[in-house]
Order: sequence, then C-alpha cells, then structure tokens
Amino acid sequence: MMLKRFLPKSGIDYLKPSIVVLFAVFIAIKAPVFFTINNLISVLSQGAVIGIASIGMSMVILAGEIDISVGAMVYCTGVIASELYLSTNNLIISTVAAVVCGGFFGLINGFGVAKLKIPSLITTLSVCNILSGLGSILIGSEGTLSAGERYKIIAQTKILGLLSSAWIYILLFLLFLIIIRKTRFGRYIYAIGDNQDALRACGIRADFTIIMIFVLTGMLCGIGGLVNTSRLGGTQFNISLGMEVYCIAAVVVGGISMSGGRGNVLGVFFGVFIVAALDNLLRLMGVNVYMYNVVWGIVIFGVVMIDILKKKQKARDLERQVFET
Amino acid sequence: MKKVLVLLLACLMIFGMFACSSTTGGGTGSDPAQARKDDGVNRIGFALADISGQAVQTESSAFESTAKELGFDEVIMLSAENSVETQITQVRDMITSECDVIVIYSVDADGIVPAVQSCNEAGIPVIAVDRGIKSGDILCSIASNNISDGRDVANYFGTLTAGEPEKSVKCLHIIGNLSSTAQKERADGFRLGVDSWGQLTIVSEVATEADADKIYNAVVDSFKTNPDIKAIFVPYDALLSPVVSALKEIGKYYPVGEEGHVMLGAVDGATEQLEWLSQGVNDISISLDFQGFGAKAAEAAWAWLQGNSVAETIQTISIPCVMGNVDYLAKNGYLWGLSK
Repeated sequence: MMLKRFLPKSGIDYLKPSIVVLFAVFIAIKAPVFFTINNLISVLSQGAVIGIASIGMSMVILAGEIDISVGAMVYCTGVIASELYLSTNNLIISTVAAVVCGGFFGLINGFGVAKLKIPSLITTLSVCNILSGLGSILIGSEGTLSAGERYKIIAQTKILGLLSSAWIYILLFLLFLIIIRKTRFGRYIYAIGDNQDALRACGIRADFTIIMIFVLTGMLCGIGGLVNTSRLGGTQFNISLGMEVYCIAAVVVGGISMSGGRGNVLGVFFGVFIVAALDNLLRLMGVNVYMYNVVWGIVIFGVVMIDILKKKQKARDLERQVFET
Repeated sequence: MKKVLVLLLACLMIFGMFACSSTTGGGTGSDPAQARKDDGVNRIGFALADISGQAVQTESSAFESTAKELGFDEVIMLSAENSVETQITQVRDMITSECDVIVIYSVDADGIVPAVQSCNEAGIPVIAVDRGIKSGDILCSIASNNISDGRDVANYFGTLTAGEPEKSVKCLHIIGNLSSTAQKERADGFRLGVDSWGQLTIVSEVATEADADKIYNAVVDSFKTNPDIKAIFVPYDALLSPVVSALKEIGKYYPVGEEGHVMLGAVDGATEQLEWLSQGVNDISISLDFQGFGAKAAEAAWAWLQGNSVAETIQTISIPCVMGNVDYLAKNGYLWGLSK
C-alpha cells in the first residue's frame, strides 16, 4: 500500500521521470564531467544569486503577483554595496546598505501593488526601469567597479568545500522554507494567491502581507546583489538585468503555479538547481550562447505543458469519481 | 459641465496632434531628403551604441571638443543603450534635426543599414567609427585594425611560450558581443595569430554576450573540461575582471612569472587593466586610440563640410602594452587610459 502511494497513477505521471532519466543518460554520454562532485558543487554556487532572488520570486508568485524588478534590484543594490565598500572599506556598512536599500525598493513595489492597486507587472516594470538607470548613474562613466580583495570574502570563502555564496543561499532557503510552511505569514501568502477577497472578508490585513512579500523580496535581492558583486569582484553596467526570467523559470520548473496559491516551495530549490545545471551543461557541451534561450523556451514550455496535462487528468479523475459515487 | 470639459479636452487633443504633426514634418514617414535644408547652422550628430565605459566616454569627449574647436555650431550626441531599434530611430531623428553629417558608432553592423540608407536618401554623409557598417554609402570608416589587435595578443602568447611542444599551450577564447564587427575581427585576428604558432591551440571558444556573469561561469566550466588551459583571450579589457575572479575561485590564479600562471590578454587599454600589467595580473593589453576615433571623426566631417576630400578608411594606431613598457608609455602620454 505504502509503495502504491509513490507510484505514478497515470501515463502523464510517467512523463516527467522518463524525460529526466533520458536526459541524464544523454548528459552522461555527451558531458561526463557534469556528474562529478566538483561540478555539481560549482553548479550550486553558480546558481546561488538566482536562488536567493528566486526565494522572493516564489513568494510573489504564490501570492498571485509578479516581480520583474528582481534583476534590476540585484543590479542596483550590488552597485550600492560595492560603491559603499570602496568609499568606507567597511563590509558591515555595505551589507546593511544593500539589504536596507533592497527592502526600500521592495516597499515601493509593495505600496504600488497593495495600496495604489497598480498591477504588479506595471509597478515592478516602472521600478525596474528606475533602478537600472539609477545603477548605471551610480557606476558612472567608468562602466565597471572593482571592489577589492577583502570584499570577495562574502561570496568566495570556502567552508566545508562549498563557497560561502552557496551557504548563504542554502541558509536563506531553509529560513524561508520554515517561514512559508510553518508560520501564519506563510499561510497568508498561499491564501492571498488562492482567494484574496476571502482573506479580506476574514479580517486579515492582506495589503500588509502583500507589502511584506515585496519588502522581503527586495531584501533578498539586496543580499543577492551583494553576493553577486562579491563573487565577480565588482560590478559592471547592466549586470544581472533580466535575471527575473531565470527566477521565474526556476519557480515554474520547481512546480509553483503561475496563477498563485499552489505549489511546493521545496521544489524551487530543485528548480534553481535545474536552471543553473542546464546553463552549466550547455557550456560544458560548447553550445552557442544564443541556443541557450531556445533550450530555455522549450524547457519552460514543456514543464508548463506537463502541469496543464496533469491538471486536466486530475479534473477528469475527479469527474469520474463523482460520477461513480 | 462634464460635456464642456470633454469637448475642450477633445479640441486640445486635436490641436496637439496638429501641432505635433507640423513640428515633425519631414520625419521618418516623409521623404528625408526634403527634411534637410541649409539653415546656416553647422550641425553634427553622433549616434553612439552606448555610453557605458571609460573608452566610449573618452571617444565621445574627444569628438565633442574637436567638433566645437573646428567650428560646428551644434553637436548632437545620443546613446542607443545597445538597442539597434533605438539607434535607427535616433539616426532618423538626427536627419529630421537637419544634421549636416552623422557619425555612427553602431550597435549592429547589419542592423543599422536601414538608418544609413535613410541618411543616403537625405544626402547626409555617414561616418562609421570604431565599429564597421555592412552596407550603404559610407563617407569614411574610422577604426583600428582589429584583426591585427587580436593577432598581436596571440603573437605575444606565442612569443612567451616559444619552444613549447606542438599544440601544448591551450587557449580559451572568450567571445563577447557577436553583433560587433570589431569584436568579430579581433576574434578572427586572434585565431589567425594562434594558427601561426605551432604550440598554441584554441581548445574552447565561448560566446558570452559580454556579460560578466556568463564570462565568470564560462571560465569556471572551461577549466573543468580542460584543466590545463594556459592562456585566455577576451575581446576587451573590461571583461578581464570576471576572468580573474573566476581564476581565483578555482585556484588557478598566479601572477605573471609564477609557476602555473595563466596568460591573460585583451584589447582596449583601460586604466585598471593597464595598472594590472605592472602588478603582474595580466600579460598584454592592446591600447586603442579612442581619443583618435572621436577627434578624427569630427575632423573628417569638418573636411567634408569644407569641400575637401576625405579618405575612405582611416586607421588609428594601436599600442601593445606589456609589463615592460607600460610605465614608459604612460609617462610619455601615449596611453588614453593611463598617465603617470
């Protein structure tokens, strides 16, 4: 009986595992380096920044909203952190500034969405444009900023064989996993995505929760910006812009519904790993960089298609059960 | 009251539309040739792909100051933020603004052609600077010999490793922006240079769209498949920073002269990378004449306006900078990126 629970129930359920197995065999033949421990550890650090930002993105999507300013927030907070480090030589000041500024940018998003009732797409698009311009103004005419050797300890220190960037991501992920699964705030996120009006009718401050979701996403992006600039040893014009596409992909691949209210946050960890691993694999195989987008498009389309098919299958099963009863 | 307000607003909109259409008459929709008339003002336009980076800033400042010194009354400079659509619109706006000459530092050598054709139809000469333009009538092209710049880097790697066994010096070739003719030519030059030295071989070529994050990951991943890479070429200096960070992450960073050093070469001659040469971080940086690009473009435009002949191609001089000569070159003012 126990084993039956884990076995796929229909043909569609076999589809995802079969694709994964076939894909794994293909990788093992074409790029055997991929499965080495060193490479898998490296993939984890390569995906750290996307992962940190994806934690925020998963909360936003679970709440039925979207945040396309994620990449710009990572860019701008990264520039602020490296600029401040260059002028003060103090890691604590630059870290706090990145997180606080990220939180402030998130507050603007949250206020626009929750209080002014502007669609999240429009609000975050505006903030995205403002921040990408602001970041470039702050970098100045040089176009690049080198933050110095000490700044790199944030992301490039090795602890138990893993880079600190990966540890920061893992710890943040665990923290937010607990917040989303075990706290009232986490339940409200799901409830907002499922039925916001019902939540309001129960007297729960949905607006405050939405603002908090965007503020936390901004703060996570602040940490992402800090980690990214530390990892690269500085920053350059327009770095990280467009990262939101990878974050959305990671969240969708991880199994969170784009319409909000449904999905397992733990899946996002695997989603991020798949995003980083696919990028890494394409590089190991020497695929042209412009093919990456084609592959990405196919992957996201495939995952969404499988989920739609599964949903349809479930609805049919439910209908049959009702009919039989 | 509401009806009156609506009527007033409608009248205002109609008036606004008429006003706009009268000010943009002869714009992109109409015949550009009619748009250009001699208003007695010497006007020059400079359409820049972007204004990010020290090199472009140097180029545009030199262009502006030279143009004003020569006697241009008005200098219009617009940045397309690396969008070819924006650049086409900007060039067409320059036609409407009655520019006498238009200088283009193109986002894309092919993509900008429709804008060049509009200039040709309007009888406005086009000067291509820094990056080439694939077709259309170009009055003058100003650039460095990008093929030679790329080849110089390979030749330096070849000289440093002379006597090594055949195909033993593995090179990683980082490719930047595929739409830039300058970067394509530098890549071709590097390949040519590598082919002329028996010990050099390119084991991996990675297109990175000049994105620091992609370059970082590309270096980390390339060493997994080829752990004994001994040289890395990037198309321009600003892209060296993520390469150095990646080498440090994987424990492959050793300064020049130390055992295990990975040779690093790039083109541009930016300040930080020239300073790195003295510190032994990188091996070679080809310093381009960005001041020359800007100044020569303005001079060619002025010469045409005065009725003088203009050379079809003007090539600027590039200077290979290495640890041994960078201080001397900087002290004598040969480098745009560094002065001591």
